[in-house]
Order: sequence, then C-alpha cells, then structure tokens
Amino acid sequence: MKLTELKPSQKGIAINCENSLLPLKLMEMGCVDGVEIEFINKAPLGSPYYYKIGGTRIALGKEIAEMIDVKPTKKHDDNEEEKN
Amino acid sequence: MTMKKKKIKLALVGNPNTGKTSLFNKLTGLHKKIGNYPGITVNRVAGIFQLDDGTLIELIDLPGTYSLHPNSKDEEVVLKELLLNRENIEGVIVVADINNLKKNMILLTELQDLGMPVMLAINMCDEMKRKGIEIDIGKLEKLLGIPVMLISAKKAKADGEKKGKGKIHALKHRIPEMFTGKGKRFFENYGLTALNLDFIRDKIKTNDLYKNWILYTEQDKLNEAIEKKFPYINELPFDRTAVKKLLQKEIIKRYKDINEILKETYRIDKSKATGFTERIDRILLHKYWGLIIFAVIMFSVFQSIFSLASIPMDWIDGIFTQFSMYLKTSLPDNELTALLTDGILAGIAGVVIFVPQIAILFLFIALLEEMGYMSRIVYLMDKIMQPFGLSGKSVVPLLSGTACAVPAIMGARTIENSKERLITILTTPFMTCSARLPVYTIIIALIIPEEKIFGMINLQGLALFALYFLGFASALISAWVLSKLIKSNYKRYFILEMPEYKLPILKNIYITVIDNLKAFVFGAGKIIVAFSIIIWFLATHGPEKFQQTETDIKKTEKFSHQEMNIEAYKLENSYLGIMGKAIEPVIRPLGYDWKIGIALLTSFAAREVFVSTLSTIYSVGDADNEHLLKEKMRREQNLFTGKPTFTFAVGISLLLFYAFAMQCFSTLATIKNETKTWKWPVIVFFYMTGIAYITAFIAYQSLK
Repeated sequence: MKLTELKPSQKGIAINCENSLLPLKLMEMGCVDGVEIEFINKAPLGSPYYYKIGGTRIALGKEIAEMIDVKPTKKHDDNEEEKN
Repeated sequence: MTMKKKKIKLALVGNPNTGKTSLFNKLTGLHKKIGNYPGITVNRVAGIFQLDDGTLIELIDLPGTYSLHPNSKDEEVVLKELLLNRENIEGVIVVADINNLKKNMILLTELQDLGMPVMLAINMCDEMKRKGIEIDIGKLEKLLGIPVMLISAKKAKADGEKKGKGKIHALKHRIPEMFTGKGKRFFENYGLTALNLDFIRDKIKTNDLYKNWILYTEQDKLNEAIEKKFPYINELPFDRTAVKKLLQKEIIKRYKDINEILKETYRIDKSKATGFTERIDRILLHKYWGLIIFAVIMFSVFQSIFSLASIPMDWIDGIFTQFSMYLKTSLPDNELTALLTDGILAGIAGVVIFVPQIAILFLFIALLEEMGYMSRIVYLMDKIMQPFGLSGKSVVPLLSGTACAVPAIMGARTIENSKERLITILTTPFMTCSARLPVYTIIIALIIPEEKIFGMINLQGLALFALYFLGFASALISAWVLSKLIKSNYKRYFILEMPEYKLPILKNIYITVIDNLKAFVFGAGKIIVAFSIIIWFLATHGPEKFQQTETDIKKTEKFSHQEMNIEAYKLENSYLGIMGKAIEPVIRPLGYDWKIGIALLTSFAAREVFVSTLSTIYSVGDADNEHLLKEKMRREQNLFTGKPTFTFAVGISLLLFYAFAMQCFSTLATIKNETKTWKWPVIVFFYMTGIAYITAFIAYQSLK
C-alpha cells in the first residue's frame, strides 16, 4: 500500500525506496528498504505528510510520499526491535 | 601534513540540526566573519580560535548537508569547497547527533573516502543517560581510524573553557591527531565504478577513485572545474538512471558498513524513548489547533515588533534629537555644524532606529529556531507558499515586512534554499510597511469620504485594508514571476527533517541577535548614512536663488507666516527642489505637480517623510498638524488647470505609487548587504518603481 494510506500511528515496512524516481536524499536520510515507517501527522492544508522513518522524523511532500510503498505492520507490534 | 604551521584551515560540516552552529559559536566565540560565497546568496561564516600550542585554526562553517550529493545551491557549496578545495581546507570536523549517529555517518564515510583528514565530534552527549545510549568510543576510533570525541555544545561554557562538561577544550586539543592517523576507506570495496570509471582507470590514482566518482556523478554541477582540470570525465558515457541506481547502491553499502561498525560500538535502550517530540507535534501540528497556535505565535511576534520596539525607538529618537539640539546650541552656527547634526547625526540616527526592531525579530526567530518550531512553520505553511516559489519559512519575513522591510529582509537568512531566500528578499519590500501608513492615512482622509457602507463598514478602513491586501498580493505574484525567471538546477521537492523540541540555548540566541545587528549596522548602516548625507545636502543646498532666499522673501512682503515660508522657499530652490521640478514632465501623466515631485524625492529617506515635506512646502509648520495639512492640500490648486491638485484620481494614483514604488534606500542598502551585489537592489528599484509608474499612470488617466 502507499505510504500516504497509513493511518495515524500505524507503522509499515518500506519496500520500494530504491526506486530511481525518488530523490537520493531520502535514502541518505535513512529511508531504505526494510526500514520501519510510522505515520505521525498530515499538515492541516493536506501536504506535507509527517513520518518517523527509522529513528528520524521526516516530513515529505505528498507527491514523494505517494511514491513509497509500505507493507503495513499491525498497530501494536512486538516486532519493534530495530537493530542499529 | 605537518603541525609545524602556524595556521590551519578547517571546515565544520554535518547534517542539519546537529548543533553544528552551536559548536561553531562555542569554538570561535564572537570572532567571526560573515560574508558570501561569490555569486550566490549563501553565507560564508568563518571564525578563528587558538590551540594551546599557539596554532591558529581558521574554521569555516559550511552549510548543513546529508551528503556530498547536493540538493540545493547551499549544499553545492559543501561539495565544491571540499572536492575542488578552492580555499585549501586542510581538514574537516564532522558534527553528528548522538541520537541519530547512523544517518550522520553517511556524510562522514564519504569524507573519509575523499581522503580528507577527518575528526568526528558526536554532539549532545549530555542526553546519553536520559536516552539510554552507550557508545564505545575507543572501538569506534579504531574501526574508523579517526579521532572521535563526545561533546556537548550545549553544556560547554565559553570558548577557552578548560574543564567544562562540554569537552570543547578536549576537542581542540585533539585536532592535531586528525592529521596523523589513517582513516578507513569505504568506497574502494564497493566495486561500483566498474561500468564507468574503469574506462579511465589508467588516468586516475587509486586513492583518488572516490574523488573521480563524485566528479563523474555530479558532473552537471562541476562543469567548469571538469573542463579546466579533469577533461577526461567528459569522455565517459553518462546515463542518468544507471548512475542513480549506482548511487543508491552506494548508500545501501554505506549503511551496511555503518551498521557493522555501530553494532559493535553503539547501543540504545529503546524503552527509554519517550516520543516526547511526536506527542507535542500532535498538538502543535494539529489540523485546527496547529494553525491557531501558529497564528497566535506570529501575531505576538508582530505585536512585539510594532509595539515593544516603539518604546526604545522613541528613546533613540529622543536622545538623538536632544543631542543634535545640544550640538546646535553649543557649536558655532555654520555649515560644519549643520553637516554634523542634520547630515551625519541624522544619518546615524536613521540606522540606530532600526536596531530595536531587528533585535526583537531575531530574538523571536532565534528562539523559534532553537526550540525546533521553525521547521514546523515550514511544514504548516509549505502548501501555501510553495506554488509561489517560496519556502514555508518565507512567511516570517513576509509578515515582518508589514512592520519594516529592513529586519524582514534580514529575517530571510533562516531560509536555507538560496533561491527561495533570494525570492523572499526581493518580494518582501512589497508588503505594506509601517512607513507607508502615514502617507496612506492622509491621502485616504483626503479622497475617501468618511462614510459607512451597509451601515457598518467604514469606507476609509476598507481602502486601507485594500492597500494592505494589494501589498501582499503583489508580493506573492512577484514571487511567482521570479520563481519562473530565476533558474535553478534543482528540482523542488519537500523533504524536511523535523528536529527534536529542545530548550533554547540562551547564548546561541544572544549570538544570533548580536551577529545580525552587527551585519546591519556595519553593512547596510554605512550605505544608509552615506545616502542620508547626500539627501540632506541636496535638500539644504542650492544654486544662486537658494542663497538669496532671505532677501527674496523680504522683498515680497505678502507672506504672513514668514518663518515657515523661508523653509518652503529654500526647499523649492534647493537642488532637490530643482530635481523635483525637473521630473515634473515625467510625473505629470500621473497627475502630480512639482511639489509632489519634491515630496516623492524626499521620500527616499523614508516614505513617511512625504508628509513632513508636504507640510514644509505648504508651510503648515508642525508636521504633526495633520488636520491643517489636510485643509491646505484640499485647497491646493493645479497651476495649469486651476482645478484642485488632490483630486480623487491623483489620490488613487499616489496611493498606488506608494504601494509599489521602491522609495526606501534603507531597504535597498539591506538588499545589497544580504545579496552582496548591487545587481539585486537595482533590479528591485526599477521593477517596483516601474510597476508603480504604470499602475499610477493607468489609474490617473482612467479616473481623471
């Protein structure tokens, strides 16, 4: 599902970050395949979207967030151990 | 590289929000020089400090970036400074945030691959315990092959501290070590260049492999250098998509290496994570509350610029007036005294008067920036500002522009993207500043009846509102036009890190305020003083006729109010008066006579001078006596037509002219100071004044 389809507080695992349409900066900031992304908030005017990607809080323009696909995890997941 | 040298040039680099500038301030104190990189609106900040052995370190604070691959002109500076090394930077201190070491280390490993002497300063170590972080520094140093320091720019005392908790002194002490060790190289094991650089393997030295890789991948930004020094790069085939895929692979490999290193050296207890920032953000960025809180914050900022600043501004005004009076009475009444008091002193007063507004605006900006709210402003406002080529941060300068364009234009310094910053600087002068208000009030009072429509809306108030709206709309439209005209190699997309909310470091706020005041007083200030002396000279000197004023006046005894008429006569016959008359043919199509022409010219000192100039010309005496001036203006007749001068058409034409024309040399001086070139103030002057002329012309011609 698209990253923009996550519900508030819902988490997902990124699956197509290494997509050549996405800016390189995103990967540099830690948005790589397999990273856990949590949706935090949407700006009052509809864009940008605000996520916690790995350990970093990042706001993304809607057009960028729509290009990222995630595999949603259950809302209360024990699988939170993300190795550093 | 030897340490025998007396002076070493180092660069400070790091991701945004790592406390890089805090560390810079702590290392160099206030000994810094702020300039510009040639040709672009990116500040170059450099400072100096000394090591115990007497070695001088010149430290350059480079813009924050996530990697050597730039996404904006600012980040391009980092690439060019470090890769092409035009300035001979000998080593780099990388600042990293302890909370997010992994992400911060991408840039570090790239710099190590570049073969630069590097040192890693891990900042915010004061938070370690609270966040449950443990680091094995010794092992990290061994794995990276470079000196690594835990520091806290926040806890550090002043520069030169010896035992402070911030460990800044210890950091200084270890600087020489970065030139002795052998840093680990990462890139050469990645085998990414096979398709491309292998064509030219014979031309490059192995330890320059990564440098050539960057030259190759960023060739569109490095054109000039490649043509001059690395022409072989141009011989290689270049497929953008293929290269991007390789760059993405490179990042994955770097993360893999970094993970390996951190697995052995870094541990974080996830149960200690509070999610504090996210919880605050759910309120501060809430669908409704977010905007309301933002509006309240902005409103208090502008209230303060308007009302809080007016108190010290009155003092400054009073002190300078008193001092000038004192000098006039105690010094001999001659040309030199007049130059000193009405020229130089008045000019300096014209600079100092801005100090309270600038100080208050930057106090707020620094506070919001330090606490992390600035990024939230960008987040909240991006949707509105982005279609106009502006940053969400442009909201602050634009709204501050309703008080005064001078501090507002300086406020654009917080915008990292240089194109967005430039557009903000160039469009802020359209906002209705407080100096336009006296002009608006008197003209509106003259031409708009004091009536209410629908029994409740005051027509005069409506006119004033329309003018404010006009200012805002023209700022946005111009921004849109400029964003289409100013070329940029970079596609705009919104990716913004949201920093953690923090208590502000008071010292940083103090330094921000002082730095910006200095930049204004010693930069734009000089130009403002020079301009005001010129205007003073032109208004108080004139050819023959001017010098005979008093005898002339005595000859024609028909004047009742002699004292005042002398002033009016003098102004009319001064150089400025002559200029006002000379431009009459140009401004007649707008409905103005030479008297208004003189007032337009004196407005260059500050727009509100329009009112006092008309008072002088119409011999009203006290400029504050608005009622009397209004009556005089109402009765004023046009010499050619015999009709009243200030008709509805002339009034509207004047309002439009004042809404658009660039008539404030303090603003022009500030634009020059911020962009470091006269090109932009000149463009703004002609652009704004051109629009003013055309709209005033159309309005007058169609209404008369």
